[in-house]
Formats: sequence, structure tokens, C-alpha cells
Amino acid sequence: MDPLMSNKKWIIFGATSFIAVSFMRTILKKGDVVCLVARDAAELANVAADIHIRTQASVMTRSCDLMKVDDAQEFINAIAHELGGLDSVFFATGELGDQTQARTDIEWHNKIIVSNFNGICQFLHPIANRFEQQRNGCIIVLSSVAGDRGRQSNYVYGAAKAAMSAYLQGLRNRLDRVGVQVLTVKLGYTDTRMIYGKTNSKLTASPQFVAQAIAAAMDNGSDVIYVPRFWQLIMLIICSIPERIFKKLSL
Amino acid sequence: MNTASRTLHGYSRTPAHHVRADIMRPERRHEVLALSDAFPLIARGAGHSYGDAALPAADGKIVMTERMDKFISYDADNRVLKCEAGVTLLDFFNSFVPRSAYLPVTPGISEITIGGCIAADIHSKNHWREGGFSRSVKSLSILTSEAGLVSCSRSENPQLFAATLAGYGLTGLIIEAELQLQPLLATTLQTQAQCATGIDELFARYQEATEKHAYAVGWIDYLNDTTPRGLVLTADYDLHAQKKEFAPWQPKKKKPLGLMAPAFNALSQSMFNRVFYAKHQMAPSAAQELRPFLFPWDNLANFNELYGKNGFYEYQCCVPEEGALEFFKMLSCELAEIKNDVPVYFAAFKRMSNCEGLMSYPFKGYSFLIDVKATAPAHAFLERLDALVCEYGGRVNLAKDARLSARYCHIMYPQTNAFLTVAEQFNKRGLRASAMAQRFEWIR
Repeated sequence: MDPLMSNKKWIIFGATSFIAVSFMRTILKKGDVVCLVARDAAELANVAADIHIRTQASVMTRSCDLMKVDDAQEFINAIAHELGGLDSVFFATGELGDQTQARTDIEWHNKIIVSNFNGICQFLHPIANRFEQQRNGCIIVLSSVAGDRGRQSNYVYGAAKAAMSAYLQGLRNRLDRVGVQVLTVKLGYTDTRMIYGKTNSKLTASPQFVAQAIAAAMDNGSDVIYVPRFWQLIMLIICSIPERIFKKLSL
Repeated sequence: MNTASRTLHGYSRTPAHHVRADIMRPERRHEVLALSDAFPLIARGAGHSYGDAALPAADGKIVMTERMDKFISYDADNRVLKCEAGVTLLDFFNSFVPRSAYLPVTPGISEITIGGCIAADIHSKNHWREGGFSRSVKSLSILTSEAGLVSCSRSENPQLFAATLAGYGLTGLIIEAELQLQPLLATTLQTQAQCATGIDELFARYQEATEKHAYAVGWIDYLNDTTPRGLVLTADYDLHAQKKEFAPWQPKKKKPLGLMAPAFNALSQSMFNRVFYAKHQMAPSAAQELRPFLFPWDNLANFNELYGKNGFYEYQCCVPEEGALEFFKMLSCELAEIKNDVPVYFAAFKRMSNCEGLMSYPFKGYSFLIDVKATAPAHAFLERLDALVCEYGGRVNLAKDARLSARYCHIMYPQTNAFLTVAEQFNKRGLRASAMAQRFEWIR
């Protein structure tokens, strides 16, 4: 380990997701301070205890629904104040949603879009300003390969992720010149509790694998990564199919 | 909760224990607590039980503990850890070696879970000194089907506690385990090997070694010479070795050992045995780091694949002290006679002490282990061995077993009825049940 590696100050959004848990277990160390944010207060406490014992980082928690935060600026400021600063954020939030249900239930339809896009952007707004001012920071957001092309089986989620990826692209363009890293993580199928038993296990990546990939990308100063990497090739092919053909397919 | 349908098997990979199972994998505490009581459940950790202890009962389902893997609390002053059952020994050692604390009794592969260690009351190569894993367990919180979440310890619900240690998951799902850790004084060990020819010499040397060393195991080569040669392998913590900075233990990638199965036979193994013996003869003393010493099988965690698609049997039996040497000699004679039909791929023995679980395998005596390919002659031979073991007042390790009959199991484990009474008190209607429980006719 690099002895000069400084202690980090993190906010982890969606901290109860196993990807977030695996990520924290991988990168946190003694001396880091971290604020865990999630809805499920009981589970949040369990995760906090585990992370503290495993990594010896200082852990605090904030239990809330990101959709119900009125003042994101104040939210971020309050946490940064408690942490003694802020230099790294990780977003693992967003409803996976059920496309079939979204077609008939407009509330679900809206929820998928808002939780995967608006909900995150409202926090990136004050975070970006803060990082720009301090000329230092790291922003990591879990996006999805589903955002690379809208397809009939998953376009509500996909569109929200596409919007998220474009937003992060713009943010990267703005913040790179002040030394802030913006990392877009495009996930393929990941072995989460939501999709357990529903997909071919050979295609799914474990949260531990995803965590290692993100940690490496963070260290390398990467911009956009596909996890696992083979998705980059798959999406390249999918995206190259002309629209007049693609619109007739049932992917 | 989502359910996956996968094919599971016991570690011995015998065809009889390949089953299609419905598996649930709870992640959050409230998901675990809400697990249905509509069908029989059994927990499954790393799946290293050799037989069917972690395979579903008929109409039953599996609860995979993989994501029930959180640390809950740690009292550093007293070295008391509370954690969930799915925590692996790898995760445990990564977190606690830097704190100079550890568990003195561990199995040979680090991907095994705390829950598994408790459910089988696993032993190490220091049982006569340290006892089984159960000695480190202070209390448990168990999810039963009749009484919900129940706490137990040596003072609270002691019968449930004694039934859960080596309870093979049949008293309920372990939700929390409270463990007493010990100070870790060194991360390097000094190992030694002594050569011996013949059972008498090997046994005598081993007995002497147990008086002097922290860890001791006897290894025997049954494939080469008529009078078998063996090694007494011992180890002690090197308190004077320089303490190195801790590098986190990484999970090891599994090698495709299945590809080597066709070349893995009595001949190849007899050559391996010669090399193994010679290596220790030439370099009897060596320093070894903590992980390779405690978890020698981490590099070969899927060694069971070497035995091919029919799998293997690991027969491990414990006999009382008084008749141990005689039994050892009888066993060795039988093995010599049957050498061509049932070659022994691996053989070892250890000294054991008494245990507190109602169904714990070891008692004050000696434990003998042989690995054989799962063939029809092997199966027949092991049935004869069951009778011999009973004659000597011994018993078979159920965690390693894949073929013991219900009849012999009842004879070997006189505490079975007491165990079943407790299990049933807390889990009526067979709602905590496994394929093993069915095989041994434990579901009444």
C-alpha cells in the first residue's frame, strides 16, 4: 500500500446494496471516514457495524429516502461537516424496476426514471460545485449497459441510465480540468438479490468482482468502465445495428 | 424472496448426492427472519460437507448463507466477536490477524463458514489440546420454526446449545454466533517431520509428539511398501520470528483439477507419496506462514475433482484410546489385503479429546482417516469397516460421511435420541431437515 495514500472522506449512497457493501469492504481502511446513506435503517446499522469491524474506518449513517430529500445542498453540507470534509462519493442507488409493470403503472414508470436519474443528479449538483471549488474529488456512479441502447424489454430503466451516463460525461468534461475524477461504471448483469435465480449464472458478475474492478478503475483514474469488460464488445455490436433493423428485434 | 434452481452435491461428489435444489439466498436480516415455514429448510455454507448434510430433504429448500456474512460487534478488550453464520474463515482471518486475535481451531480450507464450523464442530490438528470449534463458541442465536429466534449458551437453553454444536443445522438456522477469540502470538510456525516405518513406530512417535508440540498429525503411505512408512508432522508457533506486515489473504482461483482426473490413480498417487516422504526426510524442519499452515488445502480447494465423476469417500473414524493401536494395526492389515481393489489415496491420524456437542464426532481417543475412490468394492469395504469401528466402540465423522447406514449411525451416536428430542422441541413437523437427516432416519 502506498504510504502516502491519504485518508478519504466518503459518502456511500445506497450503502445496503451488496455491491456497495463489497466496494466498501474492498477500499476502506483505517483512517477513512465514511457516511452510509440508505432507506432501510435497520439494515444500514448492520452494514455499518460490519464495515467498521472489517475495515476499521470511522462509520456514520444517515437513513433516508433520497427521493424525499428537499434540500440536497443542505444534506451534503451537513454530512461533509460531520465527516470533516468530503472527497469521494459512490452512488449505488436506483430502482431496477419491472418494465412490464412500468408500462401499465405510471407511478412505477416515473419512479424508475427519477430514482436512476433525477434523484442522483440532485446530489451531484452540490457535490460537483464543492469538488470544483476544492479542486479535488472522486465521483463514482453505477450506471448500466442498458443505457447504451434503448430496447423494448428495458427502455425505461435504460433511458434513465443513458441520461445518467450523459450527465456524468458532461460532468467529467467540466471537472477534469480541476483534477476531479468522474467514473461511470457500466454494469452488465450483476448477481444481486433482485435478479437471483432469474438469469444464467454464467453471465452474472459477483459483487466482489465488480468491487475489485471499480477499485482498480478508481486507482487508474479511469473515465468509463464496463464490468465485466466483455460487455463493451457486446454493446459495440448492439449499438452498431441500424435502427431500421433493431426496431424489429425483440432483445 | 427469489429462489434459484441449481444442482448441488456433497463434497465427495458421489452420484447419489447430486440433487437439483431450490435455493434461497437472503441478504438482509429481515429477509432471514421472514423465511417461510412452509417447507423444510437447511442452511448451506461453503458446501464442504462430504455427504448430504447441506442437501435438501424431500420437498425441502436450501438457505444459502453466502450473504449472511456480516460482523456484528467486537469487544477488543475481551476478544469477543459476534458475527453471522456466513462469515468465512478467510474473511475472519483477514480482519483479525492484524488485531493479533484468531480462532485456535480451524478446518483445512478457508472458504468454509463459521456456521459450518459450528454445525460440524470441526476439529484441527490440535484437538487433544484445544478441543473442537465448539470450545470457542460462547452463545448462539438460532431461528427455529416453533419458537422463533432463540438464544442459547452453556447457561441459557443449554440443551439447545449442546444440540446445535455439531447439530448439522437441524436445530435451526444460526443467525448470530458469539465467539471467544484467542491472542495470536505469531504468524510463523516451525514445522518438523519425523520418519517412521511400521505402525508401531509411527504410533509411538506420534504419541510422543503430542506431549511436546502444539499441532501434530500422523501421515501414512499405504500405497508403496508392505510395511507402511509414515511421517509424524508437528508444528509450533515461532514466537521469536520477525512479525511481517500483514498482506490480506486473497481468495484463490480454482484450478481445473477435474482435467487431471484421468491421470489420478493409485500409481500416480504412490509416486506422489514417495516424493512427499522423501521431501520431508530430506528437509525435516521448515518455517511456514500462518495461512499455508492452517489452510493447506486453499491451493487445492477443489481437490475432490481429482477423483473424477464418481467421486470419493473420506472415511474418518474415532476409536477410544485403549484399543486405538490395536485398531490401527487391524485397519492397516485390512488395507494391505485390499490394496489392489481399494487403494488408499490419503491416510492420516490424530489424537482427540472429548467434546460437548451431543452429536460431536471426537472423543478421547484417536481419529483415523482414509480417502478412497467411490467404487463398489470400496463401498463394501467401508461397510465392513463400520462393523469393525463399532466393535472398538468408535464412530464415524458424519461431516465426512456419505454412505453410513441409519442403523450404524444410531449405534455409533448414543446421544441421537437426546439430540432429536431437542431438535423436535424447537422445530416440529420436520421443518429443519436435510437429506442427511432423512438418510439417518432422524425425522420421526
